[in-house]
Amino acid sequence: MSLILALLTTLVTLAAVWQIVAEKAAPFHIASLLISAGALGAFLTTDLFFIYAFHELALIPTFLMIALHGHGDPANRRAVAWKTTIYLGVGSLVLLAGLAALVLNFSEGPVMSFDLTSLLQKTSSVPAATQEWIYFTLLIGFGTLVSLFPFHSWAAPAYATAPTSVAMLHAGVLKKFGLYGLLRIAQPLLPLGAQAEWVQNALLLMLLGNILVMGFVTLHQSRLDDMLANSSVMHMGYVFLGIAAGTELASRVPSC
Amino acid sequence: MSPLEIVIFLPIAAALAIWLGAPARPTSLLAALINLVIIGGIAFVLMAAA
Repeated sequence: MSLILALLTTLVTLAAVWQIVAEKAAPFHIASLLISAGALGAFLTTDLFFIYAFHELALIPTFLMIALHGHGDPANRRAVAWKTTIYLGVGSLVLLAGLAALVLNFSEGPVMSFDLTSLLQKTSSVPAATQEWIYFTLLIGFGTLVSLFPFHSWAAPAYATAPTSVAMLHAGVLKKFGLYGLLRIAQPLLPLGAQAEWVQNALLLMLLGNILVMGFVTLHQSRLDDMLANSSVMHMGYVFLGIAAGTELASRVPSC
Repeated sequence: MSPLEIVIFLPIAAALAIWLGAPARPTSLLAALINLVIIGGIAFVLMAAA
Protein backbone atom coordinates (compact mmCIF):
# COMPACT_ATOMS: atom_id res chain seq x y z
CA MET A 1 0.00 0.00 0.00
CA SER A 2 2.85 2.40 0.84
CA LEU A 3 4.47 1.89 -2.55
CA ILE A 4 1.20 2.37 -4.43
CA LEU A 5 0.60 5.66 -2.62
CA ALA A 6 4.23 6.75 -3.15
CA LEU A 7 3.83 6.04 -6.88
CA LEU A 8 0.61 8.07 -6.89
CA THR A 9 2.40 10.91 -5.06
CA THR A 10 5.27 11.08 -7.56
CA LEU A 11 2.85 11.00 -10.52
CA VAL A 12 0.65 13.76 -9.08
CA THR A 13 3.73 15.83 -8.14
CA LEU A 14 5.03 15.65 -11.72
CA ALA A 15 1.61 16.69 -13.07
CA ALA A 16 1.27 19.46 -10.46
CA VAL A 17 4.66 21.09 -11.12
CA TRP A 18 4.21 20.62 -14.90
CA GLN A 19 1.03 22.73 -14.98
CA ILE A 20 2.45 25.66 -12.95
CA VAL A 21 2.48 28.63 -15.34
CA ALA A 22 2.43 31.57 -12.89
CA GLU A 23 4.77 34.47 -13.64
CA LYS A 24 6.47 34.33 -10.21
CA ALA A 25 6.41 30.55 -10.01
CA ALA A 26 9.02 29.84 -7.32
CA PRO A 27 6.61 29.78 -4.30
CA PHE A 28 4.27 27.40 -6.16
CA HIS A 29 7.14 25.01 -7.00
CA ILE A 30 8.56 25.17 -3.46
CA ALA A 31 5.13 24.51 -1.89
CA SER A 32 4.40 21.63 -4.27
CA LEU A 33 7.79 20.02 -3.58
CA LEU A 34 7.39 20.37 0.21
CA ILE A 35 3.88 18.87 0.10
CA SER A 36 5.28 16.04 -2.03
CA ALA A 37 8.17 15.45 0.41
CA GLY A 38 5.80 15.41 3.39
CA ALA A 39 3.42 12.99 1.70
CA LEU A 40 6.25 10.67 0.57
CA GLY A 41 7.74 10.74 4.08
CA ALA A 42 4.39 9.91 5.67
CA PHE A 43 3.77 7.01 3.26
CA LEU A 44 7.26 5.51 3.26
CA THR A 45 8.26 5.54 6.92
CA THR A 46 7.22 2.90 9.47
CA ASP A 47 7.77 5.08 12.55
CA LEU A 48 4.58 6.60 14.00
CA PHE A 49 6.35 9.80 15.05
CA PHE A 50 7.74 10.43 11.58
CA ILE A 51 4.44 9.48 9.90
CA TYR A 52 2.77 12.25 11.93
CA ALA A 53 5.63 14.76 11.54
CA PHE A 54 5.90 14.35 7.75
CA HIS A 55 2.15 14.83 7.38
CA GLU A 56 2.38 18.09 9.32
CA LEU A 57 5.27 19.17 7.05
CA ALA A 58 2.94 18.75 4.08
CA LEU A 59 0.09 20.72 5.68
CA ILE A 60 2.01 23.94 6.43
CA PRO A 61 2.67 24.94 2.77
CA THR A 62 -0.97 24.14 1.99
CA PHE A 63 -2.22 26.71 4.52
CA LEU A 64 0.30 29.33 3.36
CA MET A 65 -0.44 28.87 -0.34
CA ILE A 66 -4.22 29.14 0.19
CA ALA A 67 -3.76 32.36 2.19
CA LEU A 68 -1.10 33.99 0.00
CA HIS A 69 -1.68 32.72 -3.53
CA GLY A 70 -5.20 31.25 -3.55
CA HIS A 71 -8.01 32.12 -5.95
CA GLY A 72 -10.51 34.86 -5.12
CA ASP A 73 -10.24 38.04 -3.13
CA PRO A 74 -7.66 38.25 -0.32
CA ALA A 75 -10.20 38.44 2.53
CA ASN A 76 -12.03 35.32 1.33
CA ARG A 77 -8.87 33.24 0.81
CA ARG A 78 -7.52 34.26 4.23
CA ALA A 79 -10.82 33.18 5.81
CA VAL A 80 -10.67 29.84 3.96
CA ALA A 81 -7.01 29.37 5.00
CA TRP A 82 -7.90 30.02 8.65
CA LYS A 83 -10.85 27.64 8.52
CA THR A 84 -8.69 24.92 6.96
CA THR A 85 -5.90 25.56 9.48
CA ILE A 86 -8.26 25.35 12.46
CA TYR A 87 -10.05 22.20 11.25
CA LEU A 88 -6.89 20.35 10.27
CA GLY A 89 -4.98 21.65 13.31
CA VAL A 90 -7.63 20.36 15.72
CA GLY A 91 -7.88 17.12 13.73
CA SER A 92 -4.11 16.71 13.94
CA LEU A 93 -4.20 17.31 17.71
CA VAL A 94 -6.88 14.62 18.15
CA LEU A 95 -4.77 12.33 15.97
CA LEU A 96 -1.69 13.10 18.06
CA ALA A 97 -3.63 12.26 21.24
CA GLY A 98 -4.75 8.97 19.68
CA LEU A 99 -1.22 8.06 18.54
CA ALA A 100 0.19 8.97 21.98
CA ALA A 101 -2.44 6.77 23.68
CA LEU A 102 -1.61 3.99 21.23
CA VAL A 103 2.13 4.12 21.93
CA LEU A 104 1.64 4.40 25.72
CA ASN A 105 -0.78 1.45 25.85
CA PHE A 106 1.36 -0.72 23.58
CA SER A 107 4.60 0.00 25.46
CA GLU A 108 5.83 -2.36 28.13
CA GLY A 109 8.03 -0.79 30.79
CA PRO A 110 9.79 2.55 30.44
CA VAL A 111 10.94 2.02 26.84
CA MET A 112 8.44 3.33 24.27
CA SER A 113 8.43 2.07 20.71
CA PHE A 114 7.08 4.04 17.75
CA ASP A 115 7.98 1.35 15.24
CA LEU A 116 4.90 0.00 13.48
CA THR A 117 6.42 -3.44 12.96
CA SER A 118 7.20 -3.99 16.64
CA LEU A 119 3.86 -2.48 17.73
CA LEU A 120 2.03 -5.00 15.53
CA GLN A 121 3.47 -7.85 17.58
CA LYS A 122 1.84 -6.51 20.79
CA THR A 123 -1.72 -6.16 19.48
CA SER A 124 -3.22 -9.05 21.45
CA SER A 125 -2.04 -7.73 24.85
CA VAL A 126 -4.24 -4.59 24.79
CA PRO A 127 -7.77 -4.91 26.32
CA ALA A 128 -10.79 -4.53 24.02
CA ALA A 129 -12.20 -1.44 25.82
CA THR A 130 -8.88 0.39 25.45
CA GLN A 131 -8.67 -0.56 21.78
CA GLU A 132 -12.21 0.79 21.23
CA TRP A 133 -11.61 4.29 22.54
CA ILE A 134 -8.16 4.61 20.94
CA TYR A 135 -9.64 3.46 17.61
CA PHE A 136 -12.47 6.00 17.92
CA THR A 137 -9.97 8.81 18.70
CA LEU A 138 -7.89 7.83 15.66
CA LEU A 139 -11.07 7.62 13.55
CA ILE A 140 -11.98 11.22 14.46
CA GLY A 141 -8.39 12.41 13.94
CA PHE A 142 -7.83 10.68 10.60
CA GLY A 143 -11.48 11.32 9.67
CA THR A 144 -11.06 15.10 10.02
CA LEU A 145 -8.05 14.96 7.68
CA VAL A 146 -10.13 12.98 5.17
CA SER A 147 -13.17 15.30 5.58
CA LEU A 148 -15.39 12.69 7.24
CA PHE A 149 -18.86 14.11 8.05
CA PRO A 150 -19.41 16.24 10.21
CA PHE A 151 -15.76 17.42 10.10
CA HIS A 152 -15.86 18.06 6.36
CA SER A 153 -16.78 21.72 5.87
CA TRP A 154 -13.16 22.87 5.41
CA ALA A 155 -12.54 20.71 2.35
CA ALA A 156 -14.73 22.09 -0.45
CA PRO A 157 -13.81 25.79 0.01
CA ALA A 158 -10.13 24.85 0.48
CA TYR A 159 -10.00 22.95 -2.83
CA ALA A 160 -11.92 25.67 -4.66
CA THR A 161 -9.62 28.40 -3.27
CA ALA A 162 -6.19 26.72 -3.27
CA PRO A 163 -3.80 27.23 -6.22
CA THR A 164 -4.28 24.42 -8.74
CA SER A 165 -1.00 22.60 -7.99
CA VAL A 166 -1.68 22.67 -4.23
CA ALA A 167 -5.29 21.52 -4.71
CA MET A 168 -4.06 18.67 -6.94
CA LEU A 169 -1.56 17.50 -4.33
CA HIS A 170 -3.88 17.93 -1.36
CA ALA A 171 -6.99 16.35 -2.84
CA GLY A 172 -5.10 13.76 -4.88
CA VAL A 173 -2.45 12.67 -2.41
CA LEU A 174 -2.52 14.22 1.06
CA LYS A 175 -6.16 13.43 1.70
CA LYS A 176 -5.37 9.74 1.24
CA PHE A 177 -3.11 9.96 4.28
CA GLY A 178 -6.11 9.70 6.62
CA LEU A 179 -7.34 6.55 4.88
CA TYR A 180 -3.79 5.17 4.80
CA GLY A 181 -3.49 5.82 8.55
CA LEU A 182 -6.75 4.03 9.29
CA LEU A 183 -5.85 1.02 7.14
CA ARG A 184 -2.16 0.86 8.03
CA ILE A 185 -2.19 1.89 11.70
CA ALA A 186 -5.67 1.75 13.28
CA GLN A 187 -7.15 -1.39 11.66
CA PRO A 188 -4.20 -3.78 12.14
CA LEU A 189 -3.16 -2.48 15.58
CA LEU A 190 -6.66 -2.17 17.04
CA PRO A 191 -8.76 -4.97 15.46
CA LEU A 192 -11.10 -5.24 18.46
CA GLY A 193 -11.70 -1.49 18.40
CA ALA A 194 -12.58 -1.59 14.71
CA GLN A 195 -15.10 -4.40 15.32
CA ALA A 196 -16.86 -2.78 18.30
CA GLU A 197 -20.57 -2.23 17.58
CA TRP A 198 -20.77 1.36 18.83
CA VAL A 199 -17.70 2.34 16.80
CA GLN A 200 -19.19 0.70 13.69
CA ASN A 201 -22.54 2.49 14.26
CA ALA A 202 -20.83 5.86 14.70
CA LEU A 203 -18.77 5.31 11.55
CA LEU A 204 -21.89 4.31 9.58
CA LEU A 205 -23.73 7.47 10.67
CA MET A 206 -20.77 9.65 9.68
CA LEU A 207 -20.18 8.01 6.30
CA LEU A 208 -23.90 8.22 5.49
CA GLY A 209 -23.55 11.96 6.12
CA ASN A 210 -20.75 12.04 3.54
CA ILE A 211 -22.69 10.05 0.97
CA LEU A 212 -26.19 11.52 1.37
CA VAL A 213 -25.71 15.07 2.70
CA MET A 214 -22.67 15.83 0.56
CA GLY A 215 -24.31 14.07 -2.39
CA PHE A 216 -27.25 16.49 -2.26
CA VAL A 217 -24.90 19.45 -1.65
CA THR A 218 -22.92 18.41 -4.77
CA LEU A 219 -26.09 18.20 -6.86
CA HIS A 220 -27.07 21.71 -5.73
CA GLN A 221 -23.82 23.35 -6.95
CA SER A 222 -23.88 25.47 -10.09
CA ARG A 223 -20.10 26.01 -10.49
CA LEU A 224 -17.97 23.13 -11.77
CA ASP A 225 -15.10 23.70 -9.29
CA ASP A 226 -17.53 23.72 -6.33
CA MET A 227 -19.19 20.58 -7.68
CA LEU A 228 -15.83 18.77 -8.01
CA ALA A 229 -14.72 19.91 -4.54
CA ASN A 230 -17.95 18.70 -2.90
CA SER A 231 -18.02 15.45 -4.86
CA SER A 232 -14.49 14.65 -3.64
CA VAL A 233 -15.84 14.95 -0.07
CA MET A 234 -18.82 12.76 -0.98
CA HIS A 235 -16.53 10.06 -2.44
CA MET A 236 -14.81 9.66 0.91
CA GLY A 237 -18.08 8.24 2.24
CA TYR A 238 -17.82 5.31 -0.15
CA VAL A 239 -14.21 4.68 0.87
CA PHE A 240 -15.27 4.68 4.54
CA LEU A 241 -18.11 2.32 3.59
CA GLY A 242 -15.44 -0.14 2.49
CA ILE A 243 -13.62 0.29 5.81
CA ALA A 244 -16.87 -0.07 7.78
CA ALA A 245 -17.75 -3.25 5.89
CA GLY A 246 -14.92 -4.82 7.86
CA THR A 247 -14.53 -7.74 5.50
CA GLU A 248 -11.14 -9.16 4.69
CA LEU A 249 -11.40 -7.95 1.10
CA ALA A 250 -12.50 -4.42 2.10
CA SER A 251 -9.68 -3.87 4.56
CA ARG A 252 -6.97 -5.88 2.85
CA VAL A 253 -3.62 -4.12 3.04
CA PRO A 254 -1.25 -5.13 0.23
CA SER A 255 2.14 -6.15 1.58
CA CYS A 256 4.07 -3.58 -0.51
CA MET B 1 21.47 6.69 2.00
CA SER B 2 18.74 4.30 0.87
CA PRO B 3 16.63 4.98 -2.25
CA LEU B 4 13.59 5.69 -0.07
CA GLU B 5 15.50 8.33 1.92
CA ILE B 6 16.59 9.91 -1.38
CA VAL B 7 12.94 9.95 -2.52
CA ILE B 8 11.90 11.78 0.66
CA PHE B 9 14.74 14.29 0.81
CA LEU B 10 15.12 15.07 -2.92
CA PRO B 11 11.99 17.32 -3.06
CA ILE B 12 13.18 19.12 0.10
CA ALA B 13 16.62 19.67 -1.45
CA ALA B 14 15.01 20.86 -4.69
CA ALA B 15 12.76 23.28 -2.77
CA LEU B 16 15.82 24.61 -0.94
CA ALA B 17 17.70 25.01 -4.24
CA ILE B 18 14.79 26.97 -5.75
CA TRP B 19 14.62 29.17 -2.65
CA LEU B 20 18.36 29.86 -3.06
CA GLY B 21 17.86 30.93 -6.68
CA ALA B 22 17.91 27.83 -8.90
CA PRO B 23 15.50 27.96 -11.89
CA ALA B 24 12.17 26.82 -10.47
CA ARG B 25 10.54 24.86 -13.28
CA PRO B 26 13.52 22.72 -14.44
CA THR B 27 14.59 22.00 -10.85
CA SER B 28 11.17 20.87 -9.64
CA LEU B 29 10.45 18.90 -12.83
CA LEU B 30 13.81 17.13 -12.58
CA ALA B 31 13.26 16.28 -8.88
CA ALA B 32 9.73 15.00 -9.57
CA LEU B 33 10.97 12.95 -12.55
CA ILE B 34 13.89 11.39 -10.61
CA ASN B 35 11.49 10.47 -7.79
CA LEU B 36 9.06 8.89 -10.25
CA VAL B 37 11.89 6.84 -11.81
CA ILE B 38 13.14 5.64 -8.40
CA ILE B 39 9.68 4.69 -7.10
CA GLY B 40 8.77 3.14 -10.45
CA GLY B 41 12.01 1.14 -10.37
CA ILE B 42 11.35 -0.12 -6.84
CA ALA B 43 7.80 -1.09 -7.80
CA PHE B 44 9.08 -2.92 -10.90
CA VAL B 45 11.72 -4.81 -8.89
CA LEU B 46 9.17 -5.81 -6.22
CA MET B 47 6.65 -6.94 -8.82
CA ALA B 48 9.31 -8.97 -10.62
CA ALA B 49 10.34 -10.59 -7.33
CA ALA B 50 6.76 -11.45 -6.32
